Order: sequence, then structure tokens, then C-alpha cells
Amino acid sequence: MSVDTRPQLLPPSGPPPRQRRRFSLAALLGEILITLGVIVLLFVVWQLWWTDVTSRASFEATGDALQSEWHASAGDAPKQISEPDYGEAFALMYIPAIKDAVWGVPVVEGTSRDELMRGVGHHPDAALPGEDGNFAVAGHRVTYGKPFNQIAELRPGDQVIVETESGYYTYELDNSEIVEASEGWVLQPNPQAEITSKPGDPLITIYSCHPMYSAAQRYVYFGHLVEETTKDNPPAALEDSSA
Amino acid sequence: MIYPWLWRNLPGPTGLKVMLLFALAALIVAALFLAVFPVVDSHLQFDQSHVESLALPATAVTA
Repeated sequence: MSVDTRPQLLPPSGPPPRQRRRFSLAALLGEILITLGVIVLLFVVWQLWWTDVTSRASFEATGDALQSEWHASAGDAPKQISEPDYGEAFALMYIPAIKDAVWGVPVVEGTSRDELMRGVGHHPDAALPGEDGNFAVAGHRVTYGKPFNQIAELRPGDQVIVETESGYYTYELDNSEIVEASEGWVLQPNPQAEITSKPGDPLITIYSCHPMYSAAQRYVYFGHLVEETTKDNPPAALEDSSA
Repeated sequence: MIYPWLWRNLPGPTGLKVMLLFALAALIVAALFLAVFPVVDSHLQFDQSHVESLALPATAVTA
């Protein structure tokens, strides 16, 4: 009798002994840190991609709303628009040279965060389109629809067309400059008195942050008004590429 | 810890667990994108400094 036939006391089958889950502070901390890292990455994705999606949709909706509003009141359009309310979209901007980025982008009164999410921002103190003085407009270089992302690719002679309820204002760009963020002179009624134009001429300044992804400096483009047409007489550049 | 706990407590077979995880992740990303990040961004204001500090000097015209 060499074989043991007694029933075994401990059956070999059944679930393996459960591993004891021990609380580990290091493991918990690690998981929390990894999670935070992923959230920060998601924030970057949100900034660089999602804000463009939402702002572009907003540009389009505002543009359509403005167009139909103007269409409804066509006929009794004023000769010159009146001072817009803060935060109001009152014009549309077209830059044929960068038409993928700036084609019917709303011009909103004011240049703080909320306004620049909804279009390019007009300085409330600056002149209105077509007016004598400087029509000064700020726009994002990156994020929030990045209308002026390609501002550095513009060349002297490129046109900036501004449409309002009263007509079309075609500006021609003259020269660009990179200035420090504090150099507010670029917004003044005649910023380049020594180079161009007579004081009081209708000018334009568009600017964005520089270098890209930084806020240290500003990329500024100066220009002057070359043509002013009525609503039923849009500039050739608009007629060619619209519809 | 957190994630092993989550995995153990999700119901169903592995396939369903994976689907539930994706759904949960999508919900969290949506909450972050639509509610959390806009608020965080308005406090950070990277973007505002892009242009806001280029204000008209005090001597300039006033509206």
C-alpha cells in the first residue's frame, strides 16, 4: 500500500489565494500625478484646437447675422456708422491675401478677452472704418480662431477690406513693424507721422502678438484708406471670390 | 488604487468594461472642454496679454 487513497484535506483546485491589495501612498500619488498630466495635455489641446473650432463657428454665425441685419435695413443705411456699443460686432473684415483666415471675420468693439473670442477687436478710442484717424484692430495670432495667424505673411500693397452697414472701406497696407507690447503709439491717429500721410488721414493699424505663442511683442501692420464704396458697389476683390 | 478599483467595479465582461471606460472618458473630456477649461483660461489669461496690454497711452484720444 504505497498509494495514499485518503481524501485530501486541502483540495488543490479552486480560486488561487487572493493577493492582498495593500494601500500604497506612492501608487496613489503616481496615479493622481499621471491624471493631472493628462488633464494639462488636454488643456493644451483645448487651447490650440477647440478654441479655434468654437471661435470660427462664432465668426460665421455673427457674420451671417450681421449680413441679414444689414440686408433688412438696406435702403436707409447711414452714410457713416455711429459709435458701436462695447462688445457689439459692427463690421466684417476681408483680407484677400490671407482669405482662408480673414474673410468676413467680425470686427467687435473692444479688445479684451471676450471680444477677441468673437472676432477681431476694434479699439474703442480709435477711429471707425473710413473715418479720419486710425482704425486700430487687434486679433489673435494663435487660439480663438487665430484670425491674424498669418499677419507676417502679408506684404505691403495687400488690401484689407472692411464692410460696414454703410459701405466698403478698402485699405492698403504700407509697412509692418515689430514693437514691444507697451508701445501704444502704434494705435495713435497718425502713428507714423514721419513716414506716411498727413495727420488726420484715414489710416488702419492691425496687430497681433509676436512671436507666435508669446505675448512679449506685437506684430503691427500699418496701412491707409484707398477706396470707399457704397453697399451696391463692392470692391472687385470681394466680388471675385464671394458667392 | 484609483484605476484598478475602477476596473474591478465596472460591471460586465471585459468588452463592456472597455466600452464603459471610453464613455466615461468622453464624459470627463466633455466636462473639461465645455465647463472647466473656459473658466480656468479666463483666470490664466494667457490670451488676454497677447493684445490687451497694448493700450492707448493716456494722452490719446478718448471716446
